[in-house]
Amino acid sequence: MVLSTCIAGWRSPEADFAHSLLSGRPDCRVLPLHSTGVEVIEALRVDSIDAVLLPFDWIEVARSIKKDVAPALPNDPALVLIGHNPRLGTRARALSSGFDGVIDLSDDPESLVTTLSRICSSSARGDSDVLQTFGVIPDLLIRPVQLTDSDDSDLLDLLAIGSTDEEIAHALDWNIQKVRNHIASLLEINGMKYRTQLAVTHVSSARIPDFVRTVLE
Amino acid sequence: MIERGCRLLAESTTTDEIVDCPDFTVVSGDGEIYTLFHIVRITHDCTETHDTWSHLANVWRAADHAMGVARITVVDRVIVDASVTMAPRKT
Repeated sequence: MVLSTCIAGWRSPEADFAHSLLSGRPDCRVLPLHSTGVEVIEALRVDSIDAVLLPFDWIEVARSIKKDVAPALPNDPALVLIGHNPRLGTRARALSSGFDGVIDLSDDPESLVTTLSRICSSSARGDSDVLQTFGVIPDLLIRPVQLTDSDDSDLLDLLAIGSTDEEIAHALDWNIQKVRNHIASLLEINGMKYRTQLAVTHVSSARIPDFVRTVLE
Repeated sequence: MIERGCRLLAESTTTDEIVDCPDFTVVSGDGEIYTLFHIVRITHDCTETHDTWSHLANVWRAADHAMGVARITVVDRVIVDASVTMAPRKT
């Protein structure tokens, strides 16, 4: 099977390196390097691409592709983070932001396509070691927070700017237990484990890069 | 858990006689983990014997309905602090 890949990165050494590793291989079709998010999205629309390889500083592009572009595509391209010795925290954040897997460019070049194929097979997406170590919820940052009632929006706004439970209680004129009970309920219905996950998910859901909106319209 | 000096409340005492809301949340894990509990029954009044907490209650944990006993601090009918000891699970 020949893997069809698209690599993105503006003056990115990781993208250049990945492109040089994959180009010319019989088991891989590599599109020319893309330097903008718009180019990547257009490539996904006109071509059947199995995997999009992006460096870490394209994390917002990946999140937007997964959230706003991929659902409208006929196939389901894997989003793959590329980097040299990516740290566990980087991997965890990537998986939360919609990436399906991580490729360490420092690994044996021969294993690159094998790893890529494994990530592209839907059953092996994600990174079990990282998921277990950090309690990472895949794609956490590409979905909106489900609310239990209209007051939750105010609570989340305060929580997302770093307010304590006491400060939120004072601001909303609630008692402390009402604040904590609401947070506990929000964590439960959203399948989250930690308070910070609520905060970052709420903040993330408000940001859609302009280029995505332009392309979608 | 039997607390010396606590006053056993009558079984007819309802939760809403003592607190406005029977649900409370215990925060743990460096302020990150929120565990919701529901009071089944407040069994003891300890306001005269303990400074740090005021009532004992039977509770269940909302996530899995596991049973436990909670030391709660009630101020103005609001639970402002709580410590829960879960009952050992029967195998």
